Amino acid sequence: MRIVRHLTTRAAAVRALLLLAAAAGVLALAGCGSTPVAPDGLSSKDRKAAQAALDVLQDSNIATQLLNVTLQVENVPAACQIREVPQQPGTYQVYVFWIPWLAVEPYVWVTMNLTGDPHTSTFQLETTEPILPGGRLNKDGQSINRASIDTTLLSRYGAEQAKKSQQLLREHGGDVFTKPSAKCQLLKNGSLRLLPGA
Amino acid sequence: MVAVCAAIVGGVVAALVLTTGASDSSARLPTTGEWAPLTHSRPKVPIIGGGIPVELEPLKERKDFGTTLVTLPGKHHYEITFINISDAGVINSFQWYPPLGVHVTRLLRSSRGHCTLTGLTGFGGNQFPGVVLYPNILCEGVDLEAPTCTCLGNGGSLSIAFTADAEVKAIAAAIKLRTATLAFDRIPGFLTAGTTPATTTGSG
Repeated sequence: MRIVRHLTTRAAAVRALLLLAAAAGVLALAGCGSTPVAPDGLSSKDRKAAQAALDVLQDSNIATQLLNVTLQVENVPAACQIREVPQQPGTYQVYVFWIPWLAVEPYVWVTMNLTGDPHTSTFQLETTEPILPGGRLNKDGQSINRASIDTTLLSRYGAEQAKKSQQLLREHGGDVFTKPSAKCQLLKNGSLRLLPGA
Repeated sequence: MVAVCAAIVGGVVAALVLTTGASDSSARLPTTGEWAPLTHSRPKVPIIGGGIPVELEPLKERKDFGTTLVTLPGKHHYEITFINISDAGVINSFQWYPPLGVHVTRLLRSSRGHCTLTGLTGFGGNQFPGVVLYPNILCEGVDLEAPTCTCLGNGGSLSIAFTADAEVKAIAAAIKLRTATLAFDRIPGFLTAGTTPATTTGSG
């Protein structure tokens, strides 16, 4: 009797161990069904799809214009953001914003709606009104040398202007910064690359 | 027991591989040369008191418009035609600042879109409500078609007729693009042998 009980106890223990092992295996394999999400709200699969949407812009006029604006305002973009449009899977909103170096140059932003088809995607460039359209004062102190440009730096206007810059940056982006939303980066050839989601 | 342990280890390894195997496609893009992040080198000029006391050369200006000036009957009556020569795409709105010493007194007509006299108000904390700084003409909704080649000058155009308080001798003024619908395909700057530029759909 005691031997039978011992065997039964041992069998139960083995059975429990096997069940535990099976459960551990299932839990480990269950990790395949879930996708880790970065702090910006995008999973690896999302990022791959977003980058593919951006890759369509390579070698296009859009890439050229992004570089032209950088040249004009003498600054790389202060913001580059991409977000999949809610309720429209596969459609992405992209926003690129520049803060000018000189006060005479305007703030510029480009907003895009990428559908995967360049013919149905939209690309809009907008600017603020320049602060000063004129040039530097002539020696008489009363007229402006129209062949020159005002070379006051925007940074001269201090913290208040910096605050205004950030306000404009957010204002014209709409809800592109709402998660899940990722930062992107302008490359030397005008392409856009998604940044890590950390 | 060994088989069970092997199964667990195998499952964990498989899970790890499957969940992290789809690496960021951005990691596959090259990262050097033209694929490196864009940086910008500014002109090496002295900066004093938040300003640059020398000329910036070459000037970084956009070349989006061609213009012609016509004198109309009547004193200081003029018509300026703005033509889209931009490689950006369709120009939706822009601002024209008259030459120094010239003030536009009345807008007579524009051939398309909506043009208004505007400028910066609120000078001196709004103590001078009648004062307008940097008076200019703002034209919106003009939708000037992109040229087929920036070399052809066949982009959309817009004419504005106005009166001024002084003689306008030349359009030595600033034209600032405000909004544009960018073209996806590049607009060429020259024609190669054998190419036939498509005609535009019409101009102003």
